[in-house]
Amino acid sequence: MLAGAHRQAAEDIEKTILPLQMASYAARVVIEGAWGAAFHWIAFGCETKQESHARLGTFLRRQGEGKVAEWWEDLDRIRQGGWYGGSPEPERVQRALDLLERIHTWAIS
Amino acid sequence: MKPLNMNQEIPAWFDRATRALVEDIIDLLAERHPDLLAIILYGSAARHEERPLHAVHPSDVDLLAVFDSDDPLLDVHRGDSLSHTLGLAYTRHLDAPREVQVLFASKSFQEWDPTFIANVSHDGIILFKRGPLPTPFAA
Repeated sequence: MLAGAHRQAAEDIEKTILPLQMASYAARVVIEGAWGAAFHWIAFGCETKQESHARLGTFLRRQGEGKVAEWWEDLDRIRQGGWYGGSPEPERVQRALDLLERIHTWAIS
Repeated sequence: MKPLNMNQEIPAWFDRATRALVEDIIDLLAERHPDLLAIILYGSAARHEERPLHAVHPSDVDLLAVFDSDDPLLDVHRGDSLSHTLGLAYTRHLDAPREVQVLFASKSFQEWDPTFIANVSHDGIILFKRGPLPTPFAA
């Protein structure tokens, strides 16, 4: 995907999940969406700041973006918790959205 | 680096670089987080069913870090600190050919699906432990 397509995908997902963040039935979908949007923001940031985005954590560290790698891996853990854990608590949903916001801000900075 | 806190050998089939990363993760988590109770290897690598390094997508190595905490939101409340600790290890081992994924758990495991914990208990290899472990990992 081109950088612009990644950005559009991220913004579309954000618009979809943000109105759902207070709905307990949608917790897993919000976290999954946050993970997907974060992936697209990192891809957008890499395409505009660097070159590629394969194997994200390692790739980001090789580019000197260790903090972004930590945010991404933290969000990835929350996502896995959504699959292997019980129903995600509101705090976990908010954590996913907080990490997404950090990645979003980094991507467009 | 010689691991400081290993209780059980990492399986022999691990490649050198991934082994070094796992050892560093264990050492850093144990040193920086005194309430770490255990680190358990689980999943395909624990069962020696991992996809090989020459596969298009080699299997990840999955670790579960258990803490002496009753907080089911431990991963949320300490996410920045724990992620930073892991990041130190990842940064030192960028050559590791396998991804090493670490999940966090309280000692009650209440935040995890019981089936997941039962599977970890069934297949898991305890690489590090400090003090008695909670059920179902107690000897």
